[in-house]
Amino acid sequence: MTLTAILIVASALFGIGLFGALSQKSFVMLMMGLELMLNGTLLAAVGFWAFTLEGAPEGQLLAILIMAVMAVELAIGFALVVAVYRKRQADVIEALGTLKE
Amino acid sequence: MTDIAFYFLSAIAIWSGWRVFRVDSMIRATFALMVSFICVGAIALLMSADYIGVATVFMMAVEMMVMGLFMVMFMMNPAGLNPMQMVHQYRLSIGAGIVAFIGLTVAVLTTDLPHNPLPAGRDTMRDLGINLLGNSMLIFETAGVTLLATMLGAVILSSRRGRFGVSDEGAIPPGLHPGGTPAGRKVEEGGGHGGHGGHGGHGGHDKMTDEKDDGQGTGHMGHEMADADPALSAGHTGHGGHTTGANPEGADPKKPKQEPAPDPHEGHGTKPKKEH
Amino acid sequence: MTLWLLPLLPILSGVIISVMGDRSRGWLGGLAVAVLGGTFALALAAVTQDWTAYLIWSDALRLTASLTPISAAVALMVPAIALAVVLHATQHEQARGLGRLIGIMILFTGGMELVVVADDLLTLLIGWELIGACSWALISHKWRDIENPRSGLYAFVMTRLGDLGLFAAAMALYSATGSFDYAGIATLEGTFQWIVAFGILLSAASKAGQVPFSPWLFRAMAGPSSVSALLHAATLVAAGAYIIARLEPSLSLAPGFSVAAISIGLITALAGGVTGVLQNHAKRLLAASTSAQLGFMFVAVGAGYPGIAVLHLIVHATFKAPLFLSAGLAGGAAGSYRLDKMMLGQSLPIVGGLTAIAAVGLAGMPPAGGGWSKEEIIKAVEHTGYWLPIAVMLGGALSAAYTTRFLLLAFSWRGDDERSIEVPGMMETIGLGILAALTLTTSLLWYPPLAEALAALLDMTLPKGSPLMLGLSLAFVAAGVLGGVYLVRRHPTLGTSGATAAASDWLGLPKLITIAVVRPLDALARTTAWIDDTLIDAGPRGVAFMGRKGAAFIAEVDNRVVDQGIRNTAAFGDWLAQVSDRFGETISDGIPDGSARLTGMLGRDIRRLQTGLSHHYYAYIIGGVIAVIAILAAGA
Repeated sequence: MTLTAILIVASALFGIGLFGALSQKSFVMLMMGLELMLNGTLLAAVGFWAFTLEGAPEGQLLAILIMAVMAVELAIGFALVVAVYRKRQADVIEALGTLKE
Repeated sequence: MTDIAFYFLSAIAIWSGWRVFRVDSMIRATFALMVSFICVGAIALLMSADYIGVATVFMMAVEMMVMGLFMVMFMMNPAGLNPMQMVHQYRLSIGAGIVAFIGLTVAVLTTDLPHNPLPAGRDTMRDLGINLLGNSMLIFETAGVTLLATMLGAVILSSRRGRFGVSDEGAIPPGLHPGGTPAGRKVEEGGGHGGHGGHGGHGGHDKMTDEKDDGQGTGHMGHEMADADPALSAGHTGHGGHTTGANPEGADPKKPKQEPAPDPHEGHGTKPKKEH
Repeated sequence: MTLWLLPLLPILSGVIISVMGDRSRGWLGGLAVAVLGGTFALALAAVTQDWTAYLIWSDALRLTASLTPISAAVALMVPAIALAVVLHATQHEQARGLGRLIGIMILFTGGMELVVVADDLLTLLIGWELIGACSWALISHKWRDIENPRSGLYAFVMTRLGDLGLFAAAMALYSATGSFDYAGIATLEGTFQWIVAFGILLSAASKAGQVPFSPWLFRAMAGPSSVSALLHAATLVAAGAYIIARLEPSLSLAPGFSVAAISIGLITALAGGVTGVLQNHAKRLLAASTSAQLGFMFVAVGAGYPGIAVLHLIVHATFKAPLFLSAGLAGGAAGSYRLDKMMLGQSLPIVGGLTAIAAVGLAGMPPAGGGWSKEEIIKAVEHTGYWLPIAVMLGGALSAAYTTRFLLLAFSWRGDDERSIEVPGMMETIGLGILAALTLTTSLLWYPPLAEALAALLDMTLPKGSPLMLGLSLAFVAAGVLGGVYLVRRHPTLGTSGATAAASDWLGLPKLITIAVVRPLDALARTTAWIDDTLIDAGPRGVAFMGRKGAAFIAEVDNRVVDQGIRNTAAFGDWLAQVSDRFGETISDGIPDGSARLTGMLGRDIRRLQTGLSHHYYAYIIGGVIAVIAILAAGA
């Protein structure tokens, strides 16, 4: 369990999450992809804290902040999805073509 | 021992992460994501980040529930009974993912990572608690305020009652003068102009409009809202025809309301779009 | 006081008067009298007080003036005669151009005075040239008739030819002695002496109208009669005789000079006498007589008695001037100068009477002073033998003959005269009268003590002669008078036609001159002019020709090459403009257009990115992030 391995795992998760965020049509799947990315980030943050910070609590604080970000993003994202669906009956990204206007 | 656990957990995390996007069923995707998160939380536990690990597990559990709910709400195929591939720019995404992974890995492998390991026997939770309520109180407070704002925003955004009316009926602000066009940009095609992929209903839409036009001279594009209501109704009839023509299902909860009343806002957003 | 005043007064006055223009006769007359009277007074003062003058012209040249007894006498005579003649001229001559006439006559008087007072050859030359120029101007006075300027030019050229002698003499004198003083002449030897002596003799002979220079005096008669009276009787022609008389002591040292002078004088006297007898033109008759009388003076000089010559000069002036004036009056009254037509005795009795007084002197008859001086001349040549006095006596007889002829033809009585003759007024005859009076006074010279006194005054000796000669000459004179009367009675029209007419023109001398001198010189002049035009000018002409050719060539080259070059440059500029117009326009329009279009296309393409689809935007973001990380990684 070296830092390198952790970081590799984290980057793998990040890569998968990126793939998902870019490839999914549905809003919800998109959100899941974003979650995965943040998951990888969280892992990387914890790994850095464990191996380079000598246990300074600021590392854990960072991880908590990342979780907070996850929560915020999820909340706002789904709120927007609901609003968009209400407005335009859109549940896929393509439906929001008018964003270009 | 911990290494084995770590490798095992990380393998599961990665595999389940990948499965998120490969399964047909949405619920299964959700659960796969949850598994991935739990593994990550377990790894954190292994690294003596107790609080982080446990908090992750808790949070993700609830999160996935919420996500499952939304999945059921908004997705066409929540159970995955029809194996549809709902992806776009597939190759680009794969490429981007692989590039990101490789890039980060290379970065990790090439950098000289400092090695200041966590001293054994440290009570990390205690440290975290003291720090949270001591040195980093401001950060935490700010995060708390941010979460509050998020909650408020989410509630407002998803509220049914809009500022100008019920959002189900298309909350549109009133016009500048009574009965006139509301301010703001008009969208030519209400909610229907996708960039690529099966939007077969476009042509039908156009045709419908032309057929149903009662010689008002103006296409469906920019019909003036300043005309008298009969014109409106005619135009809107056209739109209504569109909906009739384009909707084989015919199941439109909004439809009965459109025909009789010359709502000025009918031409816009209330067309059900069953196409995707 | 300086002696220069004596010539300067008339010279300056003459110039001023001549340019003042025509004024009234009385005004001009008064002015003339004043100027010439002043000149006479100055001369008197100069003579009595023995003035001299000099002017330093430069290191080498020095003008001097002084009065010897001879020159004093002539200096007194000139303004006196001039006064009378000019006074007559103001009254008698044509009013047109009168101011110029009077002015130049007075100017001439000044020149003559300069000749008289000169003490060196340079001053003499200056005066000599001045009187020559005045003579030309005065002969050509009525220039509107083309013959008058031609006569003036003839006279001028002929006398100028003689002046070459004076120039040669002056140059020889200067090169021999280093100065122009008369005193140096006596010191000359050899060639220089010969050049000086004969040069002066030559110019004196030409000025005095001696043979072979006589025809000019005839041509000079074209001038007004006053001019003839003053210049060509009394003074200008006398200058020739004067100068050899003045310089005789020095000139006679040259071997052959005396003989030459006597020869010239004698030939002229005889030829002039014959011409005068045959002449029918009143003024020409008198001109011939002038030459003859001057010949007598030359004889006297050659004989060694310059004082006698000067005395004769003075006396001759006193009677010749009034004769010319009367000839002018008669010619004016009769309408022409033809003697056979005149016969004005009844119409112009006073003029005739005065003329008679003068004529006696010309004839050389005893009561007149002219006769006395002629006798002195004969006495002067007595010592050389018999033939010379006989010849002089013959000359005297001839002069008596033509004088008689003149007087009788011009002023004889004609009872049946119905012509309306305008009698000249008192003012016109007053000049004549003054001169006649002067002539009468000269007859006092017959009084021996007076003559002796005069001779002593003039610092000369009178020649001694035998009474035989005197009687012989008187006989000759009587014969001449009778001959003249005979000619008048029997052959009044003598000299109007036939052989006598031809002979009356100086026995054909002018014709000889024309054939022998004028024509060859003309031919020579034409030849030299031709040579100059064709040969000598060929060089410059050739150069000019080459220059023209060269200029034409250069112009051609300029047209072809240079202008072509310019045209080509212009064409090139045109082509360049066209090319730049097409090409340049395309470029300069194309670049902005093209870049605008490019930008538009670029914009359109970029706008395609704006799909409005979120996943596209995510992709862009990821791409951007990767790019940034790559850059940073590369930088690291």
